[in-house]
Amino acid sequence: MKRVLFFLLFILTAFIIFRYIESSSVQMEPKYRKVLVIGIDGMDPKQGERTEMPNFRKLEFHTLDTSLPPHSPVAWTTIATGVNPGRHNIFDFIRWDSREKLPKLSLWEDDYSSIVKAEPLWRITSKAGIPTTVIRYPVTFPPEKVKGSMLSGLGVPDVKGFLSGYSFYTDDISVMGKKVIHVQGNPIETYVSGPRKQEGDNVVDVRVPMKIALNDGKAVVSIDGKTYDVKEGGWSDWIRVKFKTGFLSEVYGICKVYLMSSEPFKMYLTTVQIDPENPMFDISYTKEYSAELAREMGLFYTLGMPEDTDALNDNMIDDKIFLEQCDEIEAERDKMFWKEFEKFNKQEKGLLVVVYDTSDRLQHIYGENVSDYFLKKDRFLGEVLSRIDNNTAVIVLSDHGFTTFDKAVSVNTWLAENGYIALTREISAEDEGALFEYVDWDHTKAFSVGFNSVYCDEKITNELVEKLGKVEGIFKVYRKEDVYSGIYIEEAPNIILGFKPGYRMSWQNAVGGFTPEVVFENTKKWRNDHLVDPSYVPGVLYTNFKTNKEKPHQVDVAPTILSLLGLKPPEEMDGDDLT
Amino acid sequence: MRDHLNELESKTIYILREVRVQFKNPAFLCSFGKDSVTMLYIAKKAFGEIPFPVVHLDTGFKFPEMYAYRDRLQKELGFKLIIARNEDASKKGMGPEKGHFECCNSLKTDNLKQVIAKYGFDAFILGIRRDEHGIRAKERYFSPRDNDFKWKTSRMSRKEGTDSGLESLQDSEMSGWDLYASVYKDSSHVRIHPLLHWSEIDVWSYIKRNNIKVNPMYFAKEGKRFRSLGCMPCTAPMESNASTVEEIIKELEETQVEERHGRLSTKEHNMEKLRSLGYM
Repeated sequence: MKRVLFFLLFILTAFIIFRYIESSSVQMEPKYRKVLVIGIDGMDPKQGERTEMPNFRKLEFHTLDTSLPPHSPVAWTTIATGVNPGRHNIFDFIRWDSREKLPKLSLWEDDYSSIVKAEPLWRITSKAGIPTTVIRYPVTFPPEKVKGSMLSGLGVPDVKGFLSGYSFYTDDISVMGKKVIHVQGNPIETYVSGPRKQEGDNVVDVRVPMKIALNDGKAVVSIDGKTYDVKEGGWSDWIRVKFKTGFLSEVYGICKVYLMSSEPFKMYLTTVQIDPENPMFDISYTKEYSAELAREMGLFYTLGMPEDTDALNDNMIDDKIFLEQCDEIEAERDKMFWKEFEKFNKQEKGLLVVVYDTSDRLQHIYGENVSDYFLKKDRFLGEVLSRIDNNTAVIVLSDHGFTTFDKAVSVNTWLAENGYIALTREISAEDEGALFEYVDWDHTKAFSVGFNSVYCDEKITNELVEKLGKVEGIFKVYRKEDVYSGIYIEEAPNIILGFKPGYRMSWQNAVGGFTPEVVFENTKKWRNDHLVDPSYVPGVLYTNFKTNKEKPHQVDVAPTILSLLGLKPPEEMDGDDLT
Repeated sequence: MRDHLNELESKTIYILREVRVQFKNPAFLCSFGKDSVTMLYIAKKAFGEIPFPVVHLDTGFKFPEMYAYRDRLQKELGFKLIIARNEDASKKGMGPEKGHFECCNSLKTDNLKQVIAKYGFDAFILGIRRDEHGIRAKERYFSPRDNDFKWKTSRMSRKEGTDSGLESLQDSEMSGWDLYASVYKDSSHVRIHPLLHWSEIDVWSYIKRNNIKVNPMYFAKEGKRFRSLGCMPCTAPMESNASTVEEIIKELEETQVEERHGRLSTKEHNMEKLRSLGYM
């Protein structure tokens, strides 16, 4: 008897402990049982103003103040964590590694582990036992455990560990470019370039042979004993490539080709993406989720930023090919959305977050002229709204808006001209001296990396703030102490620049390089951008519930979602509950 | 004994003899790298002397070692050396800082045009190889050039509707049959590539067997050696400890990296990774 009592007591204690762990966030009365979040990267408030968009108009609308600086990784992380960059640790697309003295991408650590330090809302909802699924949210690589599924978004690398990297095959020797592979004959014997291996101090590409037989406007591509047909002016199916990276080790990638013409031979090959069915790193939680998706909907673009703006910028593909690729990526995202929505819609409670980001790439290239895209999004929203029940809160939001990019600014060049950077040789147009190659660090007091960041000797911060404020294109200059708070403020750049609309930091500057002029024309197809002062590029916030703030900010989103679901937002969050 | 190197050599000699028969005023175009020097040694072996003048397009940016080596070699082999410089352009400050293409175009291509105008050469013999570069993979042994030095391919002439007689001649180049298109009309000059079928490793093996003295810059000093020799500003050495011909051959057998590509340094890799962000 005593033993039975003991056993019952044990069960009861275990149950209480279990409930306590599951509800470590304080519970309140939920306003909704379910929250659906649809992210549309870069959706500018102007896009929602169209009268032909009745479904967006059914929702309450606010502009959503964006992060400083308004970069997607900074902004989406602010939205997910409800804290400012001083607490979440993402300050720019590109960060400064002070130990190695090198600019690096702010999407992961060198070993591809996460650099986000604050707790995202899906971790909190998962801990509280709320079914949570997150699809293609930026800066979620590597994926993390949730009470549901997660498919990683922006930050998922290709098989080389890069963010993009197409190839262009041609027998036309007048076509030049870094990514051009010159071929000859028929059949063509060439290769697909895959993962990189370190060999001593050098890095080498692992290649797989590819044979292309041309006949009557058609190509038959053979790789690994399989053949794929592709017509002139058309895409191939997904091609699976197996790279032998060592004795007993192999990496699988997937790619597609587009045959532009067979005479002269011109063929585009997409970035070789991580194969969702045999991923070299996990790109989803559970590990098997990406394979499950691929089995249900076919293979899909897994790369963080798969729309090939690079190939378009380099004039290797034209608008038609680029837009076809965008449409395909969008259609894949729709399939993922509806699969998860059907599940979510039947659930008692839950959080579903899906981010669309083709919208961002389209606006970078075409600016405001993307109404077709947003009209489709409106019809999509109409369908979603018609299907949800009364227990579902809907939030549609973007991380930033858009402005034009007419002129590029090289703050490093200005710093060098004004004696803050010491150079060991003169700047020339041919050699930008990227990665600060010609910088004499012993005599350098300030430098800039990324798109809005300046690092400097603390003693000269005030002097620099004042002087930089007068540089052409700069609207406002911020000291980190005035705009950030939290324990990671140490990692932040000392000064953050807010550009005027039309201006953006030059690419050369972003990677620690120099240009002959401080300000110069942008002549690329990448004509629009958002890396300006946040006041010029707010995002959007649409809700099917009433909110209480005239000008909501990104930090308010996470506390609001938690509150809607009956969870008390953690004290550390900077934002307010908007309900 | 007819081994692999003998086969290569005899094909090269065959082509050189063909040049002597078919052209009135040919010349060697020589960079004094290992390939063009090998070609000169083979010519000397075939004819007992170097039968045509040797043109050196001197950009003024060559390595000092190269100039010294060139003069030593001339004494050893005894050829007529024509040193051609585009003095006009050099005086006006042409150099790589004006852009790589501009510089090459002015100091090499324009320079060569001036040489043709002055000496009336109708053919140039070059030591290029098919395995050297993607673009060169399509080259022929006999390659006619138009007035802009563009390579006249059969497709071009077909498109333009001209009947220069080039395409049938080019297409008749059949390896194994020792038939080479070597009769041309309507061309500014013809380029002849008697080493086209050689690989980098073949050339080094031939150098070893025939004890050919090449530019010492090919051999490693302090962990670096030059794999190909161009102008100083545009040529970088590679990491290597190969300090003898034997060691170079061994090194080549072990590596599969393209000769002109080199390997990527960790720095170049980092740069490429940042660039892949695509935020142009």
